[in-house]
Amino acid sequence: MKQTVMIKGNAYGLVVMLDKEAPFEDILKEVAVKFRDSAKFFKNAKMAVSFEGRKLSPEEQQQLIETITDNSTITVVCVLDKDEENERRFKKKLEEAVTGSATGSGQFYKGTLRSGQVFESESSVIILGDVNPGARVVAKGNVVVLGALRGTAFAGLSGNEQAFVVALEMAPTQIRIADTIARSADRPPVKPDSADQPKIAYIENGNIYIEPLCKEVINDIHLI
Amino acid sequence: MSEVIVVTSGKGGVGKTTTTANVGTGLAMLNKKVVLIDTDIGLRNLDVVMGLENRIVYNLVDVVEGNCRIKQALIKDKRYNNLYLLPSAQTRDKTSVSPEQMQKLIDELKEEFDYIILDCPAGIEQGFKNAIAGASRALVVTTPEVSAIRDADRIIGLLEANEITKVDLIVNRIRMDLVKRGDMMTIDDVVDILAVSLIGAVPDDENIVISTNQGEPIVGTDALAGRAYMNIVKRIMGEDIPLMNLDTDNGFWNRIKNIFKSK
Amino acid sequence: MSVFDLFKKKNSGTVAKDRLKLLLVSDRASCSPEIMEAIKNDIIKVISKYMEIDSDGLDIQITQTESEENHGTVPAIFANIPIKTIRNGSDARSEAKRN
Repeated sequence: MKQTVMIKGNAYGLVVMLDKEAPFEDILKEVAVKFRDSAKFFKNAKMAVSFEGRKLSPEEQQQLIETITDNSTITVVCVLDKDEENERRFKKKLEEAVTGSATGSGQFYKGTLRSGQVFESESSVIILGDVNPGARVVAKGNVVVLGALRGTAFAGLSGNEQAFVVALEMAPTQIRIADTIARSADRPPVKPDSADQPKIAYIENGNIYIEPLCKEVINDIHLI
Repeated sequence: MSEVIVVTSGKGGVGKTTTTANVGTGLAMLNKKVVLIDTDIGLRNLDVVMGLENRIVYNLVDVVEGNCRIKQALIKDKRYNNLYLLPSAQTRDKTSVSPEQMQKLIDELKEEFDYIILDCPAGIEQGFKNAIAGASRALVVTTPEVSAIRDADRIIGLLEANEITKVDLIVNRIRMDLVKRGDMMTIDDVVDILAVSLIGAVPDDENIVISTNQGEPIVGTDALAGRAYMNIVKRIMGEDIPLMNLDTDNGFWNRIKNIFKSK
Repeated sequence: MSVFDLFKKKNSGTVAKDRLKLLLVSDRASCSPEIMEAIKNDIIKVISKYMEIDSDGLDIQITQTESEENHGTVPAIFANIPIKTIRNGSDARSEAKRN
């Protein structure tokens, strides 16, 4: 008998091959069977799914996804069309989903980061010390510097626009959050009164803002 | 027709980066399209001297490794929009780039720019070889000190061995007060010893420290060093400019002092 | 008279120039200290065949000398070799020999 449903894996998730002619009802049943059989294999994976072989209406696609999630413990993060552009966008989404939770957890570093040194993390970063000009802190989550930030800080590496940068002394060469870059002013004004006040940098409407770290601002922080 | 000039010295700390920044800016002021390349991978300086350190997103190694296009890595100067900087990478080492890769990069830049100026690292190792790979002309910077001159001599030999025949000398940090007293070699002494053509001499001017602090080249200002650099720029472009008088002793007290000194 | 005495009256700028001139000649001849040492040892070996020399007092340098051909100067090896005694009663003069 000809198979109406086949499951294949690619780098980021599953490709479900569907028979072009078979009635949709049969395909749904077959998908249920296939995923029930392989449920143990996939366990609680977060995955991207794409369907190939036949055109699906949005309703049909929704039905298929429900069938998959009903019959297995897979979390379908999103559904891809089979083209490269989408695959890339999808990869990004997936990375965000995986690391998004990581912004809530963090990694500590104690010491001064000096020119030429780079500290990278898959989660958030807390630096107990200074970040000197020429040094870089790169994190998929948030960056917190308990000291002076004079170098470059890059939060939300994989595109998380909710990521933020906090420093006790905020004097960065450059701050990047997700895809937005802010650089320091070319001529820094004579040291402002607020220089030694803790500050936070965050994105709003595509711009990076730096503000004193007060209670209201902290209340607005969302950890995702 | 574009010209590729390497600024080199052998010894560190004699003013290569300051020279690169000022010569490049000067050429841009005279309406040439200029790109400055910092080839000191691992220890970048030119961006700070130019005051462009806060704009760096990509660098030389990113371009060579294909992480970005050249255009993305070129930083436009604050004041002259025909002046660009290609910064070096700080977190990598000299072996990240080969002379062949530099040559290829420079060939591409030649199509866009009138002058490509390479700031060479100190030393004669890989970084030096990378910096001279695409160059057709060299500015050798030295100070009137035995150590710097000895290294300059070595560098001139290496440049000649690498078939860079157009070599010009810049004598930097001349202190006329010491020269007059006989406690510093004269420009003529240095040229005599090194036997290459002199393209300019720059006085030891405190205004250079000030301008570097501010991240703005001194060329184009009225300071003595600023005028000296502008003269060098014009000579690079082929103009025949006589050497200027570096004597700064025009203040009242200096004149009094000179009267006593000359006795 | 030591080399120091010779330069004592000169300005430091002139001293620097003179030192550099000597230094660069040997630099350009790419004579490493090892090679100079080897040359020195060979000279001692050859001359010792004929006379007893003071190998500690031996001084050898690369310097410049006037060239007759093209007005300029050419590099030259300058050796100062003190002789202690002459063997075999040879008629060579027993004073420092310049080579």
